[in-house]
Amino acid sequence: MKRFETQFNTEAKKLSLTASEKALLEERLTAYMEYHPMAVPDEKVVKKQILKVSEPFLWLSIPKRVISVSFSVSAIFLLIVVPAMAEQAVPGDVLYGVKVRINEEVRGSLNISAEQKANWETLRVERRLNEARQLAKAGKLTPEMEARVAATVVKQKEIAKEQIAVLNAEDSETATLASATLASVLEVQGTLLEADLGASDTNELTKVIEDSRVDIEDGLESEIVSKEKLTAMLEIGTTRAHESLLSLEGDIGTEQYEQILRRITDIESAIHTSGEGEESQGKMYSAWQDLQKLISYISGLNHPSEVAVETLVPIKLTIEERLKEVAIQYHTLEPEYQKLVALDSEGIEADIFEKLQYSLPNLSDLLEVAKEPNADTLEMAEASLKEARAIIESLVTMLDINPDKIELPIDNGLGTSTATTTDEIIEESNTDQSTSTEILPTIQ
Amino acid sequence: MAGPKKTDNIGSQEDRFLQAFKEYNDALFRHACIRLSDREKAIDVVHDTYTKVWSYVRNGHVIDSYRSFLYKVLNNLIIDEYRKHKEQSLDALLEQEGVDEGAFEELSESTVEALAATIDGRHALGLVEKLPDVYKEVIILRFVDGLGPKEISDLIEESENVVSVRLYRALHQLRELVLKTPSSSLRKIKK
Repeated sequence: MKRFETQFNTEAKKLSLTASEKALLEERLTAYMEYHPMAVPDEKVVKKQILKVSEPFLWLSIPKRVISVSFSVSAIFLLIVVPAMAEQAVPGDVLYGVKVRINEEVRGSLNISAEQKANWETLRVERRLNEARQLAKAGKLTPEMEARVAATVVKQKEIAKEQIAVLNAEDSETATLASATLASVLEVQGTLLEADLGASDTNELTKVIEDSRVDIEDGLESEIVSKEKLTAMLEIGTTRAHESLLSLEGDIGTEQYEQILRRITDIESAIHTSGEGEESQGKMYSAWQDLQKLISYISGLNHPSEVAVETLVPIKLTIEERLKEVAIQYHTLEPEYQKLVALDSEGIEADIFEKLQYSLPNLSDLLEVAKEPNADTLEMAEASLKEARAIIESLVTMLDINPDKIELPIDNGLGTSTATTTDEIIEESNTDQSTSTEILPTIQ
Repeated sequence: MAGPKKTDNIGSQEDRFLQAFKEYNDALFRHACIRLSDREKAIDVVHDTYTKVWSYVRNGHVIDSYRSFLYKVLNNLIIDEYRKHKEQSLDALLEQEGVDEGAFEELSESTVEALAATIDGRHALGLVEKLPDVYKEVIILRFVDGLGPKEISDLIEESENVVSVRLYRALHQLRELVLKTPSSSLRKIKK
């Protein structure tokens, strides 16, 4: 076949396009291509054009995965890291604007009810005052910054007042409690700030805070809040106080922790032992105010202060503690009374001695009331001892004598002695005067 | 054969097409000229072949092998040309010739070769036009264009066995024509 194929092929090759035919064919085809150009964009041409226009720019091919990861990281940084860092910012810091204008606005927008909004604006007042304390501790509270902070505090206080007014239209009881809370926050934070500033004279900022507190308290009508409402709010508040305190366990000293815990317990006791009537409502309201001060104090412990909790929220003794306290007080004052009774007129001016004699029966009556008190007579005993102490101190001052130098008669019953001689009496009195020079807490 | 494939590498497609024109235009003309026995028609058919392929390419399709694709299009155009003028169909031809499918298995390349060896190729070209187109097609594709049985079967969309049978029958008829026809009376295709 090869021969046939070769011959056949050789003969066939003689059939071919002439040069002119080929040229004409090519011309026809080229014309057809020009009239029927490529339907899809000529990528080669487009690419050339892009290069021509964008030559100064560097074209980077970045994988999609890198872009998505970068976007996620950036989003996390902007939405989580930056706001978290901003929470520690104080006036003058770069992120302070983020804290106030973004973080707080976002948190504020989450509050729906008027009560939540009022509470949030009160919290913002506290935040401003905390920032002032931080600046004071860092020594950055310049007069200019102080004026700026004062203006911010007043502005925030007005916003909180407005929100409380809105709440008042819905629920006057809750609005009253919200006002009491705001006043407590101003009192506590003002006290803490004053201690941080360390100035003997009250500075402008603390004056502004005090004025703000007075402004809030002036409008308060505590009696409109029912006992039931107070009970419920106190229950919620004490739970919050426990939680706040628990969060600080380990960060504060054991003694301070116990002190605060004791006060929360006192408030809880007040809830359960308040009794009935207007007096009970008053006690509950007072407990509410103490609770708010305590909560504000706890929140301020993020920035330690020299102010003891006792300054803001005095301890509330139990009945048993108070009875014990009365007994101690009695055994302190009664010997001093005896000293006064034992005095004679020698060396004492006649009119002064007359005043002494006139006061002794009254003093005796007062001490008698406090001699053996019980739960029912406790308050009277405390009041009697308080008055007796005041009378004794004034008599001692008037007589200008040292009670330690006076012979003390032995009392039968409470402090009864079997001595018959003066020396024995002195010896016994010396033995019994183990508590006479002790510094005892003053009954409030 | 090329599978249609979208691409965005347009510039190179145009270049490839023009290259395919330069490379195969003569061979396509030769093929068309022998089959149609008319030079002018052959040129037109070649022109139409290329314009059709260009239309295919300009829509974004990619042709893997221009050679086979061009021959396919050319062959279809030639068949169209035949159908304009002749009513003879392949089925009719096969029916006329009484092709027995069982005979396919008996045929092989060696059988075809053996038959071709008995034909004077110099004289056969002028007699190819007398063959039925289906025979002319396979003769030209095989012995002028140099396509193998598989390529021919792909192009004409018939099995290789059918291609072999046709080749054998084509050569058989061609041999008889060569033997019958004096060389002096061979009609020359216009060059």
